[in-house]
Amino acid sequence: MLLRETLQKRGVDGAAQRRAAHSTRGNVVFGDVLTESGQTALEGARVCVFGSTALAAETLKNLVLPGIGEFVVVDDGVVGEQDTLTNFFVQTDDQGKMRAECIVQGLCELNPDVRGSAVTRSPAELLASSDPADIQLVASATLVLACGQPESVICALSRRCWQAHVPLVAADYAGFYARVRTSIPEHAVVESHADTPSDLRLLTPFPALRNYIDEIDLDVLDSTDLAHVPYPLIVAKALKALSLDGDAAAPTIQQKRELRDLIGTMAPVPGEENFVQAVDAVTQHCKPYSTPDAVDEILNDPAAVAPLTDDTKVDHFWLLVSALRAYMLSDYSLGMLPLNGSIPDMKADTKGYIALQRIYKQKAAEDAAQFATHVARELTDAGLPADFISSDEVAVFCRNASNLRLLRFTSLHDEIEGDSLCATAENLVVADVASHYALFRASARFEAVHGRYPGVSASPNDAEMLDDELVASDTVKLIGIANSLLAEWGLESTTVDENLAMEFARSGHCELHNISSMTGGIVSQEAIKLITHQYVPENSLCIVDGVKAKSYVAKI
Amino acid sequence: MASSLQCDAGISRYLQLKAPHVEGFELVNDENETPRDLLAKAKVLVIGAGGLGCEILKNLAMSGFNDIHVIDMDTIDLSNLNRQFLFRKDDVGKPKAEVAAAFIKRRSPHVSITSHFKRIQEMPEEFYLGFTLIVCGLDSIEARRWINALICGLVEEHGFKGFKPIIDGGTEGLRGNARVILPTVNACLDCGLDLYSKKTTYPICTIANTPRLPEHCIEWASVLEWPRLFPDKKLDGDDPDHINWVVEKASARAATFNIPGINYSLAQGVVKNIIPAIASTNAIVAAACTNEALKVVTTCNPYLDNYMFYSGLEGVYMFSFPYARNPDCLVCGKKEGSLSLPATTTLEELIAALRESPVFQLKAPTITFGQTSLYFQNPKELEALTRPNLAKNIGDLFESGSTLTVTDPTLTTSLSVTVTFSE
Repeated sequence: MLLRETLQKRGVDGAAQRRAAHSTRGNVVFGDVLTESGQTALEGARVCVFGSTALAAETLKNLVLPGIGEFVVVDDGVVGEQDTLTNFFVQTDDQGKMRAECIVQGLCELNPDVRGSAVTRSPAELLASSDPADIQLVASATLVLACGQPESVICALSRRCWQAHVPLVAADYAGFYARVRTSIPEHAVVESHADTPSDLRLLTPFPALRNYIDEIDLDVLDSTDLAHVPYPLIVAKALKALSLDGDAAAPTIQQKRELRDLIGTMAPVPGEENFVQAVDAVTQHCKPYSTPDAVDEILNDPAAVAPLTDDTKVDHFWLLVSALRAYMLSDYSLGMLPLNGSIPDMKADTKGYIALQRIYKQKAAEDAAQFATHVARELTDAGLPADFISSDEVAVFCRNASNLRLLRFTSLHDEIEGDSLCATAENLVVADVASHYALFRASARFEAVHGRYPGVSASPNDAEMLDDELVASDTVKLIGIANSLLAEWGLESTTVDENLAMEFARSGHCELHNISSMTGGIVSQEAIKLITHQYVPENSLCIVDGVKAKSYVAKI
Repeated sequence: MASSLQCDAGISRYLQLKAPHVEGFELVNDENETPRDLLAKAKVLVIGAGGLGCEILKNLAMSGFNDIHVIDMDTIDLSNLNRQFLFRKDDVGKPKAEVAAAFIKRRSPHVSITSHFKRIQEMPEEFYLGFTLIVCGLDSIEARRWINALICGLVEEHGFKGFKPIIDGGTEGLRGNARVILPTVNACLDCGLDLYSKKTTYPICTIANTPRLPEHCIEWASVLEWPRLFPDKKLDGDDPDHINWVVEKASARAATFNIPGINYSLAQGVVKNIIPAIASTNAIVAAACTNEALKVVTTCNPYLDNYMFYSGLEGVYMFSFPYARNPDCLVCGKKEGSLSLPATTTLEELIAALRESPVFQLKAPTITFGQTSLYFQNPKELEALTRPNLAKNIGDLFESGSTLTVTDPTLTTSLSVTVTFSE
């Protein structure tokens, strides 16, 4: 006990201590998976869910467990016998009760820190209402989910969400298949957690690194000391010896070979680990600096050039990108992004490693300070207060400058009611998922025409009667609709897979717990990425195939 | 055969309607059983009642499985509650298997569910012979290897009666995998042993002499300092006082070397070798496993052949492929290993090679040569008796080309390893 207090006084990782001591959920909330800012975003999120069957409940389970702030379930469905068999979060004696209320109760038990509520109205009715409270329910949500909703509801929701810049994830199912579609005008990812190699700048060393390299004389070191020289230093010395440093031209294949040979001869004994690491580093670290394509695109985006022309709301991301653009154009940066300062572990003695680490960290700190001045200028120019963007957020952005991502989507309402598919349908063919997708859309059209989904008996009295003949005849109709849809989208030469069509008709559009649980896992993970702006979400369609245990993705 | 199966209308449809993706789909098999009968009589063992296990149990109960057993030796920890959704704060300290089973029983009273608060190694062979199928949601490679070796052994011993498909799931952060193992038919777990990354280890000389990372300092405190100062007390990664001690020691060392970044959660992560687990990935992988279980038992759709990989790091990526059998597999292949080492290698170094080699990855090998006991890990008396051999050169213990018999906690039977002396 005494020890803990001493440590707390010393301030050893207050956050972890605090969590261990006070959290009702244990000290590892999202492990190493999310950074602190992501966890905070999650805890402040309000998620609005349309639908309350197993898919909605399973999705919410994975959001409630890690601790989203609040959720609302909108649905007027009543618990029937089927629900007690597919939906884990309703109880066997819940039949006849409002399903939204039942799952909210079950889900809230998972985490006392999360607030949940039910709105027991039909999604269509709520979306038709012009009551400001109803409009706010969607417009003020952090994220909206539509689980198993008809196309009419999805289109109405999509319009609302698109206008309010609220991300919408719509998911539905047909037996062993499920579909997940994300829709938001644009989504920026700052902390993409991309596994990019360290930026060592060996070909274009900055002055402090240059001095450090020059100060060290490898020739005076004995073999023990040589065996502990960090590899970047070895590579830098070899580059200098072959006069390949200092200019931005890329060494040729022949020069790289000479470089590796030279490094080999520099080793005190053949195969010395740090020299082997140096040889291995030649390919990765002896190329001229280039801004990653994804970042280059963002920097040249019209929104980066004039971030404040859109008067809806001032966006932190574009302000920061605009500042980064100014930084990149400044003499200071030499056209290189701010260094993030991390170097990989390597064979080295402590002193050498720490010294090198300090040089990169120092440069990263200087770059960050420079970047911060551009952010400050950007804010002044925009007439915004200096603390409009917190220094933590600026620092996180700067550290991740080379991993930024920007995703632009098409809207769900354009996909369903407009003609955006004519431009994107080819992507479905490329992803080998045109049949799956067409069959989802065809099932909806089938239902609109016949008042029932394919494979489902027309008379409720025959509900128990399952008939291979009905499946077979509906399969033919479904194929007809699907092929005409494919033609509408400009895919005349694509025809729908017949076995797949039969599997859709066989499903009777039913919900299987396993598939909803798997899809709920995917939807919740995409939701967490969208809420936290960490990791890269799918843009824009994902089809889950539970027959083949595969997913198919396409940008539509 | 009459069945008292309770399942939803969706599953009913798949048990009764023709399957377009299954070649020669039969509604009644040779034994006159329908898919419905097969599901009703299936007896499934779930190994592990943690993050994956909770999901697996729920999914099986909601998929029409009637007879489910669950085995887990762990008790519930506060830190489990953020993903192991069958447990509540009041359950902390209770056995996972029992609490999970009771929860499922309350929710689905028609399902028979039996819990075993036991280690898998404690159960007799007959126990495993009683199941139709085994679904594993484990976080340890050692336990996976043990069950894999046992189940592969059952086929050889009992023929078709001993044939038990294993469906195995694993997750790490936003990535995971699921596999369907048909013992002796497709790749077993050991065939793909190199797919599993070993625990990150740091060379002792780095830890002792040239630390560079905060992890090196934490390892120094936990691996070197703790046993030196408290030889009789095991370091407990769940005891905050122990971890705080490690943090203090490691911080002091890091300060002398100017190494930044020691904190409580990092220390605990390093000491416990924590693999980050999150609810969403667990849900995806567990559902992939139970979806295969349903298909394997009922034949209502083709099952996975045989490896599925998921990653949510960039977009959504779920891919499946047939992982090939390894003819040299120590469990289902030729069951013999070979090593080539200089004659001057000590027995201790040979043991280290068996532990570290990606092919063997043994934990605590005991080695005999013919009738001679070269080294015994336990009991204490035998260990003491054979310990002097550790320092001896293998060239002085046996000849080149000799076949040693190796036993290990990860293996259910002994393994033959032929050692040839390299130059």
